Amino acid sequence: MHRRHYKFFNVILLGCCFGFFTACNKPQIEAYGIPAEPPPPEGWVEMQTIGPEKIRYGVFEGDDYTGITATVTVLEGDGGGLEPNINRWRGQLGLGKIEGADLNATLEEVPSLGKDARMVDVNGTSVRSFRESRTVGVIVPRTELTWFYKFSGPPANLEVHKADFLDFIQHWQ
Amino acid sequence: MRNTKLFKALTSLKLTVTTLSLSMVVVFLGTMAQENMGLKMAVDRYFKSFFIDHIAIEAAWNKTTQLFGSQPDPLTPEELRNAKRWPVFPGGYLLGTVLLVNLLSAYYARFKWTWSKLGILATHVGIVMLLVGQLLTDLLSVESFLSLRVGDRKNYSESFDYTELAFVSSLNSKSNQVMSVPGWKLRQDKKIADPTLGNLELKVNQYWVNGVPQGPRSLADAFKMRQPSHHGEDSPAAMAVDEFKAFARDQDPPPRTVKDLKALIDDFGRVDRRLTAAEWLGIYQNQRGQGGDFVIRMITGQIAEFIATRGKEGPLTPREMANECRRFVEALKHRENPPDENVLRNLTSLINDVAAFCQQRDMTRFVRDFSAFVEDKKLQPSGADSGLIAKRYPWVEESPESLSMDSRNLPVTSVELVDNGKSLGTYLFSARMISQEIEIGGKDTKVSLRPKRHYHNLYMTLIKLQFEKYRGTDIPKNFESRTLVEPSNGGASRVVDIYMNHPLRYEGDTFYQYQMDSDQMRQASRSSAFQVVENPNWLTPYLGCLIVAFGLVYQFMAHLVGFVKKRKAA
Amino acid sequence: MSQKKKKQSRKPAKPDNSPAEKRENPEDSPQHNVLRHWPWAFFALALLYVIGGLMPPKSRVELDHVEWGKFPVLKGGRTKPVDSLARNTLRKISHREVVPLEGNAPNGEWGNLIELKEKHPEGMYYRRWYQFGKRPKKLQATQWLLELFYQPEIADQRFIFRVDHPDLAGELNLNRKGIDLSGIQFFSFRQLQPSLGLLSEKSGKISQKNPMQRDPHENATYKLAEALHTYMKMRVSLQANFPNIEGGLKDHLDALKEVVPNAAEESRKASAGEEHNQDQLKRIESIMRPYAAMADDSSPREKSDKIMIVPPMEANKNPDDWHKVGESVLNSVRSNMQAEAEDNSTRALTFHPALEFYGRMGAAFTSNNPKSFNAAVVDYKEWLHKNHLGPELAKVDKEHYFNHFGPFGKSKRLYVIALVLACLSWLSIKKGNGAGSAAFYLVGLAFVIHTTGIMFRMWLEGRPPVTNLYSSAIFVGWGAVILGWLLERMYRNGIGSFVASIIGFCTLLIADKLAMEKDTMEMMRAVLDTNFWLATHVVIISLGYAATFLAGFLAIVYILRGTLTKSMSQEIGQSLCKLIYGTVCFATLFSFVGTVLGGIWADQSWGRFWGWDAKENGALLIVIWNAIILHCRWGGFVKDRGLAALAIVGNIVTAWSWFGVNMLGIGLHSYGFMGAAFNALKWFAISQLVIVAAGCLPLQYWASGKQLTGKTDSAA
Repeated sequence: MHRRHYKFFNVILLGCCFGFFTACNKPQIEAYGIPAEPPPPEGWVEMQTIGPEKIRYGVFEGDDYTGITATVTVLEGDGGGLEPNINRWRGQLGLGKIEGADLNATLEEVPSLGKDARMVDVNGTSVRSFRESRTVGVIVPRTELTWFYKFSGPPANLEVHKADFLDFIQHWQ
Repeated sequence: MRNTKLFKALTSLKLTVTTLSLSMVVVFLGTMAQENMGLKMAVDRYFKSFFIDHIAIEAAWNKTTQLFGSQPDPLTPEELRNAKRWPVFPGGYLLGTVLLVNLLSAYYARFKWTWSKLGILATHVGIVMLLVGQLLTDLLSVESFLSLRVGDRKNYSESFDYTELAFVSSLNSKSNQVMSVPGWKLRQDKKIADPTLGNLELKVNQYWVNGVPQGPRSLADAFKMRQPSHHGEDSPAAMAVDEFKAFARDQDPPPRTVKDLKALIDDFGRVDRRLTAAEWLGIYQNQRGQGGDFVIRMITGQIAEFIATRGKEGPLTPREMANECRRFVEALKHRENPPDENVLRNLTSLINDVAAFCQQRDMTRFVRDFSAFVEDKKLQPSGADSGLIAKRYPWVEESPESLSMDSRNLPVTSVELVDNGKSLGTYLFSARMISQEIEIGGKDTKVSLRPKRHYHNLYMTLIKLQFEKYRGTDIPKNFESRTLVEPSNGGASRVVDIYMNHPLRYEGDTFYQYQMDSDQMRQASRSSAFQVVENPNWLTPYLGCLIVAFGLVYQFMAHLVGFVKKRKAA
Repeated sequence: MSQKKKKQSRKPAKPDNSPAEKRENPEDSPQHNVLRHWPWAFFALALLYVIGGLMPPKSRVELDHVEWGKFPVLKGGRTKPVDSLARNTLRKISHREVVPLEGNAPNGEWGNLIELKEKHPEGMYYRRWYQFGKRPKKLQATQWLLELFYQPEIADQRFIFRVDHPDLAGELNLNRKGIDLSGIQFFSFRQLQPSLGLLSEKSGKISQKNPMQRDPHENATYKLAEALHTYMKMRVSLQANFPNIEGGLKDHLDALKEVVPNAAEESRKASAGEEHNQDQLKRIESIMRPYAAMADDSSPREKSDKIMIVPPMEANKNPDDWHKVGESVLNSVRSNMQAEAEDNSTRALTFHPALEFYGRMGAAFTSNNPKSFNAAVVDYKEWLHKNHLGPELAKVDKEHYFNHFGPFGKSKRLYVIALVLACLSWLSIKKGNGAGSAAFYLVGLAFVIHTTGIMFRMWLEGRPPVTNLYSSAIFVGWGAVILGWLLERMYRNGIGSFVASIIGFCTLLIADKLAMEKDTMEMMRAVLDTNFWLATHVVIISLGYAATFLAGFLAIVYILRGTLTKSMSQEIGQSLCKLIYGTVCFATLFSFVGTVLGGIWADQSWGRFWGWDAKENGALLIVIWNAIILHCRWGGFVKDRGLAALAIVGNIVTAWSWFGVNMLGIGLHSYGFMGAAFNALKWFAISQLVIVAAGCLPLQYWASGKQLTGKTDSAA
């Protein structure tokens, strides 16, 4: 009889104490796998973002900066709409505003990013640097948000890297 | 056994009452200690411990005496963390255990089933469940935060309390491998080797619980921030800072010691600054923002041309420049069609402004103040020699450890990485900096010190954040996030609104909308935060409560019915 | 009645006092037949008092300030009647809702304070309590606000600023220069004006300090500075009452209407260098500058607390589009100038109709023309209805009526009378005496009004009864009163009435104090905005508080009656202790369930059932303490006296959890900070401990000791 009681208590006490001391939710050294984010193309280096941009890359060839930047900005809803955004990009290259059919004529569909995705490709002179510049912009609406991908820089270099960009935006979120 | 003194004592109601009384004291002191120790530490040392140490008691006692007029200094984080702590009072776990044992053994010894005892029995069963449930929650639940700006997409949340040194390398095209070394281990151990880490070995040079890596340029920025706000972005001091930053950038080799830095500041004071016309007017533009734009654009080229025609080569001192400009204005007046009177007046006052401004830029003062500022910082050498952060930030400024829930500590550490016995160099890591890419074992690895991450099987994107206030007040009225939830396994995504009392439950994790007040909202610059809780035990307290409530109501009704019957009978 | 008889039928068991009781029982003596109904007469009187208050309010002077008080304004995120705005402001400044206009000169001369003040620089005082014959003329809150809006130079001379600390008056060189009300001085804005700079500088420093560590002098300084801030803000929220600005709202609007339409033309001329009217532009600027200052909300303080008087146009479409007067004036002028600039036209300037109406009222008020004022009030009201503000008007009307009726003030007064009656009932040795019945009826009546008040508030707010500290005080009182009243109904021994009325009175008094701080119907922060949990957790935990207090006060009755009077028989003692025990059981149930519901709410809201937050811990303390009492009783560690002593300590624990933890400034729940109130809490705790100590005296020192030691043992 006595023995049984002692056992009874020991079990409770030990159980409690064991629980208290061992299971501790302090993190330990650990290794685990996570889904890999798609890596940016070769030569793309992350840079300081400006304004509402989510991320900004500079495109390098070896150690030399090509003058190309690739950015993505995500805005609520339609982000102000196709027209003002494209005209904003045009404005940065010193080009005038266009609308309606003229606008649509400059747009290209990007079926792989959905039926509403549009691409625009414009050449002009940057109002900031006064250099010749080209912008490839892709606007992708997805679930109440709109993604603005912008790839811009000196036209000659841009042509070389444009394929990388178009490839990357397929899974760049 | 039933008759032994020990058993009697264990089953006695006296023990119950004593334990309950002691828990009153613990709960009271544990509340009082919260201000000084911060909630987490107070909970750890009072409620999640077997004994309360004398320092924790002191913290509570200080607050208690404060209520009665005395003004003791709060204990510092170092004092609170002092290793020499004597257990002086039973803690929450001990009292909980004793209550549990007391209750169970009392039932074991005395319990005889009758219907009338059902209420008491249920109450006690429920209380046991609550006690045990709370313990399990302490042990099993994990809380973290997920903070998103509109358009951000994340599959992880971050711990509020813990940091980790994370090594992220590519495993294959689909997945990356993360090796995580917790911050507390870096703080505690000098050398860390673990089978999980493979051949990698860490030698911790130093660990600052809360600190800021500092270099010449970041110090200059900090100095600028410290200036009274009315001096503003364009004050002479602020301009001097910008010039100093440009000056420091060109230094090769960069300063390594604080003494080097001071020498650098002195050097900067001795450099004679001459300006081109564009620079000179740029100062004005800086000072007046866009307002001066028009006049500036009009005359910049003309002044430069004018100076060139006068044969003054190269940059000029501010005084010379002002004189040149005045001559330029005179020349304008004698042109064929001189500009409007107003324009000339504006131009003259502009030149006077810039000249006065440049004269105010007394560099000796900047050099003196900035040196004193640097001296004040009590910079510590980081001891690191490799990597970009170590190069830019040779020193660490230690900040006091924060214990409050409202602000988090941002640690800094310098660690030597040893791969297979071969040193890869000593790196500096800071929770304020982005990751550094280091080649470890032939693999490009991104290494960063960051809040401990918890990965979830979903990607969450913030679509919209609604923060409404009552009209004309700062009182938050509604706080709601519209999110896009995408399962990582490629399942169907859906849009979920998360708001107060409507959390998102997903595979054992619950995402609660974190409520911010207006101040926090401004700081967070329109990002939404979620508290993420993983608590496999969440149901236990609900059950416990139900059972206790049932027991109490049963007992109470039994009393009441008896009472009413008696009165009726009488 | 049947219960009373039952009791008496048991009486013969106690030979010592039953014969006397029988003899003196009024029910048995025919000569008392008429008089024995006096409790009902008393009740009828009280009822009349209450019904009198139900009459809709009417202005006693020709100028209809009552109707004016029913106009809606938006402040603190909700529309409320101007009357509430006036009352809240005045309460914050002077802790009263009326402004007495008459008082005594130092030589005892009675008259208008402003006039007397010119003759006597010092030593004036308000009506003393013994001056029954004097009924000072008073300004109602709305009348005062009218004056402040439209005739600030007179309002500035009213003695409304309460200075609690005598040293503060000395520091401002105002010793004895205010109007005295039992030791507290009231000053006018004009008197305080020279000290504005000093006060704001000091309060700035004090606000940096932990409120716990402020001394009474600092508290008083801070409070005065806050009151001045509130006053000055209110002073310029309708009309630009700045120094050196002449004329009222109407004058300003008219002047702007005259000059603004030509302004575009003039400024065009000015820039073209043509001859133009300089004065006109200057005049616009001189009028616009103060209104721009009124519109300015760059300071965070102003941003978080705007007084918006101008209602939305077409309220059915954009109900939230309220504006400050300054904003509205500025917007009208701006849009007019913009429109003119766009098409180079000259357009007539129009202002928001509300401004025109308020301007008319102001002109009528200053020229002392009540008829035209009343007409403007009627017109504005009509316009509000036309402008789809009918629902708002109905809502603020309700609140206006509620303010006027003042149910909690009324029930507070009734509780005091009931308290006195309950005490009287113990003085007489008769059982079932009139005083006891009268107390019982009065508590019932007061309770009905108390309940009405709570229901009215719930209806107004559309919320469960408890939404903030103020309403929790009212509700805790309510819970204790209903329990106490039920006890009285069962036992009819005066104890239930006594305890109910004293707790009812105290909690309403506390509520009054809390109402001095801010709007009592403030909006709920998003975190707390859930009627379900407010209705369950908060209500139940408040009932837990109420029951714990009830047990504590029953215990106080037990100990004080036992130690100080000989009136406590063994039977009364035992039944009291049963009551205490029962109430503690009830308190345990409610405080536990309430606490747990709080946990569930927390779990629902942020996934943490229990976070050891200060307020949670406070609630836990009450639960544990009640559990301790019950276990002590079950284990036989305490008998009657011990039970009473423990229950009294329960008062301290509850007061601590209810108010104390809010004062710590720790944790999520700390919604109201009251550094100064902590002293009151301290003294409450000390008084309770003194009673506990008295209860611990051996029974032989108790006045009723002999009766009590009769059979029971004296274990404690």
